[in-house]
Amino acid sequence: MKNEIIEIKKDILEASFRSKEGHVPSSFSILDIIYCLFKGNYVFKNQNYLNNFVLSKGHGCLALYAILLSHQKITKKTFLSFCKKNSDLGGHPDMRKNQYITASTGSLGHGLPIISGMVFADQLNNFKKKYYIVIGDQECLEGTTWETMFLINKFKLNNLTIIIDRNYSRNDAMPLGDIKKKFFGFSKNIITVNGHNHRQIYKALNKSYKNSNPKIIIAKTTKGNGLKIIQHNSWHHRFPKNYDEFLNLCKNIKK
Amino acid sequence: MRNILPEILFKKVKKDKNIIILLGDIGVFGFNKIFGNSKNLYNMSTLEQSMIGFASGMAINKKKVYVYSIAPFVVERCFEQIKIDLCYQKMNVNIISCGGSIEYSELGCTHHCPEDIAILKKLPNIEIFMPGNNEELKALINQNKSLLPSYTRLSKNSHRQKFKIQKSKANCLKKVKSSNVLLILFGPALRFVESYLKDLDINILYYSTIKPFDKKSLNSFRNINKIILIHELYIGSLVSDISNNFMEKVKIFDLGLPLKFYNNYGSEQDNYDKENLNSKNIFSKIKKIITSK
Repeated sequence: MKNEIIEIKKDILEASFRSKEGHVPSSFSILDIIYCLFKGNYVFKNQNYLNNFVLSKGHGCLALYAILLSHQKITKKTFLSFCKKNSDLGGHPDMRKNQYITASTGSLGHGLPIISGMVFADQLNNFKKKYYIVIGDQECLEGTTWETMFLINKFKLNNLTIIIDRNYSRNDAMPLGDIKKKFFGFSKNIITVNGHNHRQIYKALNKSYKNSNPKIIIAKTTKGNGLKIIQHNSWHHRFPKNYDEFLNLCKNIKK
Repeated sequence: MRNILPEILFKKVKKDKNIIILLGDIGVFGFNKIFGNSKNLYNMSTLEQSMIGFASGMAINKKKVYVYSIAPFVVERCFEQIKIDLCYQKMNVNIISCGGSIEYSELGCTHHCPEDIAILKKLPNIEIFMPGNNEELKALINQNKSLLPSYTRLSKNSHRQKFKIQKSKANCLKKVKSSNVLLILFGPALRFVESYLKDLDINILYYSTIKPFDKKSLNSFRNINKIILIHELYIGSLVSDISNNFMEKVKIFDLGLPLKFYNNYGSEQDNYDKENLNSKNIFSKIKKIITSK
């Protein structure tokens, strides 16, 4: 599993290196969460489309694309077309381009209202499907996050699991404080985990509650996890500049 | 139009249980009266932006959603949600607004919206309707089978003309071969000139669908050198649709609302009077334009 994650990270670096695009540190931050969601069959049950998972922090999409590649749902050629002319896989995901993308995200604060509407539509049809969303911690600043929490409570959308990628990356711009306390008014079902520890992630995903609130998983993560060099803020919008740097980065990945 | 909306939508819901109506805390009493305890009607209160995203999510899961609120709150406040969640994703969500332009004159500029159509028509994948009376509202909602998002603008004003309209088609009200003037009327603004229609010996075209814009009807007029636009939007809102599609050299006289905040309260009519945009003034302006060189 450790090797698998390293190989997926190399894929992410390669796509970023070839396209000179992509948010690599953000993708590494959420990779373990998305890995578990797919590997544990939470969001993907051998369907030819994906419709119960939204990556609201769309800029981390290389993690999603790389996982799709590892599950052989897209080809290597498609994966490496990332951001290139006529590609189906852009710097932010487009739901009209690929059946494994449920919502077109990139502008922050759009995913949560959308997935909540999906859960509600299912609830009206008496479907019991579970839904999962990954949102960034800084994304929580968007007003629609809190508007939607009211809707989630009103309509008792307890088939929804909200996973917050808590990497503190933009804490200098706006400190979020005790995020658990802030969500606690909307749901008592909050679990804090190490967002890179698969055992803890699975345990949180498996935990069930009998009340009508949604589940919220605060996943403590590190931006650029497993690759010290890219954890600095200067890497936020960077990519491997040349082949040597790409190889050097690949060599230094530790899970 | 506001009064008959619940009934029109209730009839649709009876035929199709997948239709869901979301209210932005407006028209609640009227809708509840018709819908009772229906599972197809929900008051979402005052979180308009999330309401649009939520509607988009319901549409992803095959619901056909109607969202109803006041124009400035459901259009300007939600512009990005409309752009991304509805237009970019091509979701079958129909926005219905009331109180566009300066209909809520008494309530002040926070409740005005004379620019809704101008900004929405710049978005790809959206259809825009401006019915002129109850019959047109019924026709446009019932004829709209498109899966694209749409925007329908209700008005408290109506015209009294009784011609049949067709979605996406303009109505030619008068064709005068000898005239080189074309008068174009939009939705309820037709009321301003309806009592003078017989006296006007010029070409007259009427639009209740703004987007897709019916170019064919516009281009069916030949030898036109003056076009007069009558509507209740900001001046310039519709000029590009005309000038981009009219091949000949024409002078456009746009008799819409001047670009400013209407902060004097009073009634809507008071404000139109102040801008010389009542029936009488508009008719004399038209006459002047016809005779001008």
